Amino acid sequence: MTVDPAYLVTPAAAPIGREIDRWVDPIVAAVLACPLVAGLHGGRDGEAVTYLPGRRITGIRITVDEVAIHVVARYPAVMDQVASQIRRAVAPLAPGLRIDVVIEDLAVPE
Amino acid sequence: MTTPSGIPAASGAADSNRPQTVRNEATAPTRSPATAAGRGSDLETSQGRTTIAETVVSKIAGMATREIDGVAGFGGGAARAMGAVRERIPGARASSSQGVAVEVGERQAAVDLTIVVEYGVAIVELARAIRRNVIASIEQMTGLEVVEVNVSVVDLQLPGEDTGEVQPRQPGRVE
Repeated sequence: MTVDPAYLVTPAAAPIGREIDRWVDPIVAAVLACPLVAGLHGGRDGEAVTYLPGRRITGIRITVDEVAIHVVARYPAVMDQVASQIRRAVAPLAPGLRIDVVIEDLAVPE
Repeated sequence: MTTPSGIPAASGAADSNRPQTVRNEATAPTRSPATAAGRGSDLETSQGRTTIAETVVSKIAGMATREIDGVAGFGGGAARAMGAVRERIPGARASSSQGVAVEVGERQAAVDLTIVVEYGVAIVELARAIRRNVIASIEQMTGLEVVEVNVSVVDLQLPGEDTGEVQPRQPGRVE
């Protein structure tokens, strides 16, 4: 039985090898440093996860052409500002990648 | 006035959204099947997409309602509020938690509120104030246009009743 070479092509959602180890931590730090961000969020279906050797990082998912950042914003924040704040912080750390911001939840004061 | 804890509300909303999302993705083939597409409100920019989950819109509506003096709390379970959600915005996803039901489309949102008011308030005036505040908050914070805010008053909080939340308080069964 022969293997169709199409199956061997890296799927778009595959992490970019060991690169990811070096990229993900600075991105997490930059996102958490944004004043309008209360925290990272694993995504509604738990899809926003980066798996690394020995650990996993919730809220960030890096693929070959984009980095998806899932956050909990702080109430009351203007969502557009949350996104642009994150983009400004992350852009220098993820050159060439599109930055998708998903605001999954709001942290409301008790 | 007690604050419903956010975590069960959020997870409840997430669960009730699941079939909705699947159906919408099936009926909206023009949308890109990319990771975060098909949920919340999208704001496409050259550097990437910004998605706002329905939970966010729902919490903003809840906070804006609570801010108005005279609102004692929210009433009606998630299932009840969910039943009130109609298809007002084509391709919208609906979310509902703790008396706040929202429908969020690409550019528009609709809100249904089920509330308990304090005894002695002018309900029509109160509803008008809630509507104004909810619309202003959602439009300012998310950029979505609010097409309607329906306020349904299900109970009065009489003096002496300490909580307006109409929800059974169950003690935890496990520790």
